[in-house]
Amino acid sequence: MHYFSQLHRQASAVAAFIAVCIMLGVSACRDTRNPSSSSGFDRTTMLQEVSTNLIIPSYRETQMAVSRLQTSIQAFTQSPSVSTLQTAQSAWLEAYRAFLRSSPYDFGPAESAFGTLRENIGVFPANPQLTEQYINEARFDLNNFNRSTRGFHGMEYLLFAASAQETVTRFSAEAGANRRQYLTAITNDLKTRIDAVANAWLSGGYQTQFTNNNGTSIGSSTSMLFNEFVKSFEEAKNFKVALPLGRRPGQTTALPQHVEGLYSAQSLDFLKIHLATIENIWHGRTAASGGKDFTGFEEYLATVAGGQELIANTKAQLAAVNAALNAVPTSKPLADLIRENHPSLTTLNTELQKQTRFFKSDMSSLLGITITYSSGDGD
Amino acid sequence: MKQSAFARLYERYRYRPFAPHSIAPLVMFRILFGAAMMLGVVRFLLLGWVDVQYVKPTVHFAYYGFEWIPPLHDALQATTNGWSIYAVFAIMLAAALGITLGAWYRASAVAYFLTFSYVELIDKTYYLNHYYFVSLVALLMTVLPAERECSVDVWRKPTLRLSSVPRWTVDILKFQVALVYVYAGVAKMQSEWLFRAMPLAIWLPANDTLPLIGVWLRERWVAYAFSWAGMVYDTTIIAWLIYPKTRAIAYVAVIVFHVLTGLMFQIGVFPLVMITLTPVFFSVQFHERCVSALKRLAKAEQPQQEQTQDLQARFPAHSSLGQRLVLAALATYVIVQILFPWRWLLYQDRISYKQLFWTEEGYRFGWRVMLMEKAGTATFYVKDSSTGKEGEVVNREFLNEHQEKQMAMQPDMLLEFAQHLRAYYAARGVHKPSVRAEVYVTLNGEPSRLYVDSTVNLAAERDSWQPKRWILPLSQ
Repeated sequence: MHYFSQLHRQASAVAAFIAVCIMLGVSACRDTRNPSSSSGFDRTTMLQEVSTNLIIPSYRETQMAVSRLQTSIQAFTQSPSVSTLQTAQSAWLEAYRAFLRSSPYDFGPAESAFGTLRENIGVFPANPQLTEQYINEARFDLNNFNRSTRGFHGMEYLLFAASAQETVTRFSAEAGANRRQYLTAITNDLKTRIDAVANAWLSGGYQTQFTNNNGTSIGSSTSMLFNEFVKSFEEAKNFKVALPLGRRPGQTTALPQHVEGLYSAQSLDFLKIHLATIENIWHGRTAASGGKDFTGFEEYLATVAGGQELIANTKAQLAAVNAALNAVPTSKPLADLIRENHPSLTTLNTELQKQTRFFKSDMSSLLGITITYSSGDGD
Repeated sequence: MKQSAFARLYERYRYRPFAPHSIAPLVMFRILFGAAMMLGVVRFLLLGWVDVQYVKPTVHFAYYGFEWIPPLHDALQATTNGWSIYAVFAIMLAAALGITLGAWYRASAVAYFLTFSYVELIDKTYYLNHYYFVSLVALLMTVLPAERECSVDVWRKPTLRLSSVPRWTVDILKFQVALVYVYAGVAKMQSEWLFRAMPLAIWLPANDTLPLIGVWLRERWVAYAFSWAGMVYDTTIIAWLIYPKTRAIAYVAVIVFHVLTGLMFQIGVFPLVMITLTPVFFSVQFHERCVSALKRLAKAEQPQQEQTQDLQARFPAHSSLGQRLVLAALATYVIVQILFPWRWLLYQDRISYKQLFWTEEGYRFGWRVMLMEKAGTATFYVKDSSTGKEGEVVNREFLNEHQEKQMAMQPDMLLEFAQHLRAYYAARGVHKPSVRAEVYVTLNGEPSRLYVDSTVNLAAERDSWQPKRWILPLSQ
């Protein structure tokens, strides 16, 4: 029976190794802080610095601005006048600018079963017909998926679509009751949603989770931050520039009415804020002008093979995008420039297109970030 | 002279594949393969990938020669309200169970082979070497007498029981498993892998949060050590498994290697498949003990009816014609398997693995696993040939994340997508659309370069075995 003992020895050796491997596998799920190494990059530091100095301040800003917006909307609906309207309009502009700076962080608390924060309150263009219908039918429950009737752009339509005097008239008296109530309802909805996400970050609960999830696999914080960063950049390119310009296949005419911020006519300013936010995230830089540069994707890239070249290429292209952006005339609204097919917009579209690969495929490839769920090829 | 030497060799070895061999390794292989496949199907279902990969996408990337599969899938889905693919997976699961238990074995094996291959052929986005491997093994299983012991079929019909089978039925499985490792090892014998430690120099630092070894993975020399060790492991592990004195330690190495790669890379069930199938190289005695242990466990010990039925009843082993047919089939299979992965050499002016990675001509079905880090960004432009107006496509409106990622770096997928776009926009009023693409690809951490000629109308190109002239050369 000696072969049984041999078998037993083999089997127990194998079992021991399987046990070790399983333990290794189980402990891999837990966070283990690595001592800083001479080479390489500490993603925990990046996540800590980005969340503390970029993400949380931007959500705090948005939350405060939306809070002020709500107050000014209350004042306007209680006594509609050109003055209260103008206060509400500038509060809306402030809040939307703040939202643009926080919206690339559309993950974690911003995700829900019914879409992300941006999908829920940032959809444009607004749908005036349906909005008017809901107002006429006194439907204030917002119990539907037509997000283009609410959110920031629904509010923009109600506040900016007509002249100040006309808007005040529409909101006034008994005839304006439904409109007042609808505006109040969508303002409250906006605030509730912003508060939920901002509070999750501000309370520190999500930040700890974010910082500890320091791997590179799918679902890791680095992967989420990267994915939403790229998605946000592509949205700016595809839906704020190419689509209104009529650059989609089969489009025979431009669609100036599809610009972001059609009624407030601040489209170009919004686009500049959006793209500056993207650039700041890449640097790990705060939003304030001359902001402080923390550990971000740029510093991460500097530590990997081929990273320096990509940093140089990315910076050169960012400069080209900014030059193209600054060459777009500010004298007219973007929608008007689109109507006259202004050549500066074609240049901008081209430069944005050239930027895409540096963000989208080059960066994830060099950093080894996993961006899809399916299995890869094994050996 | 040569011919007679060949004839002598043939005469000497022609009976070898038909020598009696214990059925036990075959039985264990059947049980482990079936069990691993069941796990694979259940995992796939639980992850919700059927929906993501086969229900939601409106575009599927067909394999060359199997262009009829995606339309078949679409037609089945349309007529069954979307549940046909789930029915296919249900059959696949039942078939894997049938293989494991040896119940209605032949039907189960055929059903498993067909359903699994069908699903793989729907979309090459999800191509993996190990899926191809599973398809091949499943094909082999349809002809092997793996159910003739320790199975429901034998329990139902004891006369089916065999204690020995022709040797080739076990050897062909060993050949298949060995081919994967050896070819995976040979593919690593090139400068990118050995002298630039690519792509491990990218992938290992991304895993620096692993416990114990994580910190080390940031070091450059570790990437080199892993590269060389991986090459040596893949190339020689089969030899260590075959040699009895090193077998136990070699199997431990198999487990450690696959568990480690399984932790580091997103490679699904592949580690499990290899860990469960490599025991085919263990000794006959080992397998026989396993089989009898299983039988005791199942208390399915039949009244010991000695093997009376002889092999020729089912296996034409002693008929000369039958033998020749089996030999011819085996030889064809083995030769095709050995040669097919080398077809890439025919596409090359100057033999270079980097060129192979760049063009991927002859890349698939070659056991080239985890060999490169490649990614691309592809922008398609559709032009109306009467108005001359050109529009930019948003890929994600047609493709899921995984499809877009794979499409953006593989020439034949770029082509298929271009053709899909032409058909799509032609149906929506764009006059005779031409489709060109601006594609930038980065390979092993190098700056991205223009990948295909961005002036070529890809919708007018056809996929074929011929070299794709519109792929730009790597060096420019």
